Amino acid sequence: MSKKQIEKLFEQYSLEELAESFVFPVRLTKKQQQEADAELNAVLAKRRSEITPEFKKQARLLQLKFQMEDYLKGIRYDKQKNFGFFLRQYLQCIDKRSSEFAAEIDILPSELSQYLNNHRKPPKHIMVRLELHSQNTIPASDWYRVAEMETLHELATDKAIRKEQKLHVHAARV
Amino acid sequence: MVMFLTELSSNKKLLCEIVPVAEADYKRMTKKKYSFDWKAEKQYDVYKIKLIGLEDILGLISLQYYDKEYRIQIRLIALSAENLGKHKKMGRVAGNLIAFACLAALKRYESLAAVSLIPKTALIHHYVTEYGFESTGWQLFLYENKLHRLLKKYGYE
Repeated sequence: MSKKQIEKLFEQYSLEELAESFVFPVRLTKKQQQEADAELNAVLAKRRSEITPEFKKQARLLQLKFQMEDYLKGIRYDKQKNFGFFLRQYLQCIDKRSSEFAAEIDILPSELSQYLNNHRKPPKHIMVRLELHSQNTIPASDWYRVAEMETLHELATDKAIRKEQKLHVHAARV
Repeated sequence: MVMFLTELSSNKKLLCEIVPVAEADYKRMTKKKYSFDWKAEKQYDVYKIKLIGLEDILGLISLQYYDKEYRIQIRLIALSAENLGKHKKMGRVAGNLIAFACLAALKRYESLAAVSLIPKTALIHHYVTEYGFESTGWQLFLYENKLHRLLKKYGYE
């Protein structure tokens, strides 16, 4: 967009309307750009050095939430990304040891271990406890859908069960 | 995560999504409708905002990643011609695009995530009051609570 075109927009619309509709290209000289970057990096470095452990935890938790949502939105099933995988990530985010976390959601460490290693399917109440534990950052429905992804995949790909169940279907739809 | 735009004639909330621009989109991303030469942005990450189930592009954003600085720079934003000025059809379009940049930064840089832009001087005040940007002189940035506040306002948190 030429300078003339930008000036025309500034005549046509109010400043508020422009800011609600555009981020314009701003061309800086090399020196100006270096100055601008140095200024910004200095401010950000100072601010980053002041963040609290609580804020760090919350940011990690949100990152996990978005990671789960992206996975759930995706078309492809990933065997690695099961319930246990995301639960392990959750523990890392909140910086808790398994035994400590198990106590916080009122289950035995052995039960938690079964979920972490994907040896046991989590019941609904565990997903609700996870939601409450994250202070609603990660909803129970996301945990449920992650667990269901596996069931759906099994249902779609299990040949053995099809062979077995075929014996019970005496007529197929014509 | 529920992202929506406001249809200003009815005040209805309409679900929207932000997705990468496809190669085929560039043909209809004309200067007349979207103000800039968007083909020149192909080397960056360009995203479009649209209502779910509809194809019309309501606005565009171009992002540049500065991984070593843990920040994303908003290079350009432009809404479609029918969404400019007093007679615009949809509200929250630009805000959703800026919040999307915050989301991309948080996904990538976690607690260090920042979003920046180089503003036209005359527009600084509005970017600060409307979206919570902070100024360093040349640049505006969103970081920490201000970044999270915007994510919350636009339905990401």
